[in-house]
Amino acid sequence: MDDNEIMLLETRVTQRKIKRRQMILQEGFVCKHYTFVEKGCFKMYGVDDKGNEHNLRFAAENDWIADLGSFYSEKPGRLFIEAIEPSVILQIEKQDLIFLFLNATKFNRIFKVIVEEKFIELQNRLLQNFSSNARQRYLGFLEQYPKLALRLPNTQIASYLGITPEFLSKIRGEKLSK
Amino acid sequence: MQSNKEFFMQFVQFINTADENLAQQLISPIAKFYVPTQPEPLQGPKGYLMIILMMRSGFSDIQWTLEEMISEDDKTAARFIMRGTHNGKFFGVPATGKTIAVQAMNFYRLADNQIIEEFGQPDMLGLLKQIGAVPM
Repeated sequence: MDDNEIMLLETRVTQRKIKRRQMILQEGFVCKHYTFVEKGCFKMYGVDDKGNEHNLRFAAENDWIADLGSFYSEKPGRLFIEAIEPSVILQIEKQDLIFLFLNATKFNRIFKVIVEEKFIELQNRLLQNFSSNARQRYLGFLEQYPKLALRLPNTQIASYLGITPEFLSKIRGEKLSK
Repeated sequence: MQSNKEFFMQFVQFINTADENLAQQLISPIAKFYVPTQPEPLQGPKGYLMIILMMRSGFSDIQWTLEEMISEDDKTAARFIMRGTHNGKFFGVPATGKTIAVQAMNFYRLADNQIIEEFGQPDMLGLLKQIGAVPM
């Protein structure tokens, strides 16, 4: 990005500090921001009728997170986005994003790539859920989030994989012993 | 204690702006908010936003100031003063244009950097007196 583009971006984003376990999105609210993680880590999850959390994805440093369905439809969503660690984020609202798209076309390309990457990530995850066993899904997680395996609690990774923390410990034990 | 003070500075910013982002950040989705005007506790950030909007419908410029607070373990007791102009209907009382300054004593319980419970006790009698709904 050139100096003008950086200046445009800086005037349109808001920095926020978020403490551990605080949320930047709750169920029933419209997701009004694209969020860039400067520092820390977030999980995006849904809660089923029994109150169980199901982690959809994680976002740590230099990654983006948003409930895109709610963001683009401007309708209340079903997802939560919660800080797993003390975090610093940059957020941009839809109107500011459109301003950037109109005034610096490079941003159009950048955000198109971001959405494409998230789509591919979800596509891979969906296929894995249909066709892979828990161990293969864990290996898929390691590939997707190589730096998070030692950083996240077992419970969070297990929720992402759709297995119990005990079963995850067993898989991890097997992997270490090989 | 310092982090509690920081938290409540942000909370005051939230109630004075009705900012939905701060609501989601500071109020747990399962938080219960007990207020004297409601038989059942209000829940989560939406419950808080509803009360703030209800107060704003009677006092469009309403603002709270945190006068003092005391914290122990996961609990905080806080004394607020809310000030505003009675320029909308409030509990059936038409706008009078009078200004109010009313105290509120509230108890909060925090868990994981969010409010999980509040017992709010605004001086409703004082408020109704100041807008002329109850004799002084």
